[in-house]
Amino acid sequence: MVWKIAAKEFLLNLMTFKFVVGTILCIVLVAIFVPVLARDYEQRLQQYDRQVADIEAKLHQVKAYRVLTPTVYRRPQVLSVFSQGMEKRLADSAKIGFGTRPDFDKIPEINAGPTEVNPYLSIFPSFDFLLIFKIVMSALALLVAYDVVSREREQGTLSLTLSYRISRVQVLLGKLLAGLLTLAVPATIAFLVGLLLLLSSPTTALGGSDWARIGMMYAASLLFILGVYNVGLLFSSLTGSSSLALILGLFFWVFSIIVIPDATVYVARRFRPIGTVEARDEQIASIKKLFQHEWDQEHVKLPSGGAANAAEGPFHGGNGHWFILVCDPAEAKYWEKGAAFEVSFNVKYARKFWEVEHDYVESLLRQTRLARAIGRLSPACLYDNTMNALAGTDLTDYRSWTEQVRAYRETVLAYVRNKTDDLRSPLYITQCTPAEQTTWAKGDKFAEEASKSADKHTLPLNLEDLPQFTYTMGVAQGLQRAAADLMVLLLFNLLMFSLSFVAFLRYDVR
Amino acid sequence: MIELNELTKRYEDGILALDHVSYTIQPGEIFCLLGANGAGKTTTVNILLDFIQPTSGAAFINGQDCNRFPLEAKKYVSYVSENVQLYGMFTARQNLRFFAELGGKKGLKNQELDDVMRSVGLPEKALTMRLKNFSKGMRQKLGIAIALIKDPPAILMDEPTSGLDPRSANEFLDQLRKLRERGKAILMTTHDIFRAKQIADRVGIMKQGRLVAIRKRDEFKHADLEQIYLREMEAAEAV
Repeated sequence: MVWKIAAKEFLLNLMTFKFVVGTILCIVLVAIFVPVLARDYEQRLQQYDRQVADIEAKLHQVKAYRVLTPTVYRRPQVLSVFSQGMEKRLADSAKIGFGTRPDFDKIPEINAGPTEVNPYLSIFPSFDFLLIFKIVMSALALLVAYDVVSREREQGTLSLTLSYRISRVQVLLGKLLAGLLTLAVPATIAFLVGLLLLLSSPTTALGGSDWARIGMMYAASLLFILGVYNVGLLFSSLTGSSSLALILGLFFWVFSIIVIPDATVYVARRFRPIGTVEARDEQIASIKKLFQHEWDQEHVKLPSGGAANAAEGPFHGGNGHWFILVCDPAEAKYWEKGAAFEVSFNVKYARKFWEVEHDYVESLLRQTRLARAIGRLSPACLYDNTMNALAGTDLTDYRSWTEQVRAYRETVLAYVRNKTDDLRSPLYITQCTPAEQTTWAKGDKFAEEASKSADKHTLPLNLEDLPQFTYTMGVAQGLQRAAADLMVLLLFNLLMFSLSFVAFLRYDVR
Repeated sequence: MIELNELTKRYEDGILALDHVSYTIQPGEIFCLLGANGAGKTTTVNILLDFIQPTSGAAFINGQDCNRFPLEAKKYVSYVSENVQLYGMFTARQNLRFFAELGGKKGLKNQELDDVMRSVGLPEKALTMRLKNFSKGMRQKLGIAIALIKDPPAILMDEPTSGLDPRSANEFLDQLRKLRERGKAILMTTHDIFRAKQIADRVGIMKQGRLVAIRKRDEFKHADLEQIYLREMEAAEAV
């Protein structure tokens, strides 16, 4: 009986103008925007590959462990085509240095001072799958559902159907199944078209984990549109008129897709305020002052020296050299003690720097969590959270990546300590002989000559056993992060259907 | 076959729609319920179909309590409503097949469906036409076909001739006669005294929820049923 009702409803839905228009619109949007997003991903991936290759090449030129400062990059997520989330707005690289904190190229900009951005609406211009489903498919779900009961009442078929040996729950289950089948048609076509377009890109390769997550995204998408359909079913069962059900449905749609996501961010900002980026930078600046002050005090206790000649190499900046030349024996003595001092001193302050940054990211996360918790009132927010979590483009994934970077930094430090006899080995720095020093100093061109000669006679380090940075998000992690929102989305569906059932039991079919 | 036993219905707003109504309709009998709007005719049908619950009393179809075991009772009844709209995007055949399958008639061939539709007077071209292009009379005939294909012992009809032109109404009555010959117990509510006189074996006259009179065919066959109706209504008014 349920299947008969569902088959009839399904066929009728397929014949409607709204279904045809909604399906075509959905497919056209996917066909337009997926290639754009795929191209964007391709370019970001090429840039990532270039950066990784570049850093590999630079690592092969490193001649002293002190200047081993690898940079790690965050690989773009192929599933960002489905849900861009916050991926492009967060840091995508970090420089590993023993003396300093991980140096993130970008900082999270969510709620960052005057340029605050809405994490939901700010991604509006990027028409990914998520947005197409949130806007077009949810509207279609509502339009399919709003008159599913009231229309039958108006045309007299509901009373005729219920004059047969069929219960109301069977009728409603049939309508639910029909809604799912109907909406699964454009959803499935959109996913297939999107995947075909994505796979047609030569650089796109999907692994087993990606396919599994795409499968979960498809299921989550169906669950979302079914949730909206259930809301329409509820309004249709509550009211005797299709027009009233449509008005209620549109009110829900606007509230759920636009008002709640915006309101959650407003409320989260109000009740979980965070400092501005400027305030955070000021904190870091004050720590730097402390650092300098303490350095000046402690540094004098070391043997004289520390003014080694540094030759600039590919790693620019304060700690960026290919090698360090230490020619003076007194200088060398300084470095025997100074290296360990410098590292332990810098590690201490790096931790302080990290804490500031970590606190900032944590406060962002707390704010986001509050926004997400409030957003669970809306199926659109639940869907948003689920898709971002599965695509690996949410803030939680970013935090996991930064934690992984931090762990990697410790690994590299341990590696260097191991290689340099706990920083006491000359390998930590690059030394030269007094004769070389004398030769190079002739003609007041020490630095230039030293660089040339040292470049020739100092061999690059063998870094083949340098631990590699890896960060991957598996299916289990994605599902774990999405589980809570998926569960609430499922409960939302159950609640809406239960309410529809209660309303339909009391529905006057006459 | 159809039995009402002290059936009473008082709505939430206090209106007494049925007041201890009792009668039985036998197989092969057409029972017409006459009465003004709000007399309780449609309420009776709605209780028999379990669309609403009675306040007291009981209604039975083929011995099954319509409100305690509605799904059992519905096995034995078909329903023809006043306004048979059906599914406009489906053809007549698709509509008929859907309701036939709901009634447990699975795997019917197109020929069998078409035969039923022809038997109620639907023209050949209408069989594969979409319902949105049907006239009211054609829809009503399809409604009868839907009731027929289930082939139950009892049929409930709520104002089935309302809005039909005279020719369609006469064709409809012909169908009812055939159903009577096949032993169906038919309860038909109507305002149309003229049609009731033509077809009914008994008429029940209702006023404000009360069944004020039941007249057999012999009693109105050669009399003016309208006069009987008005007399009974006045008498009920006096009471």
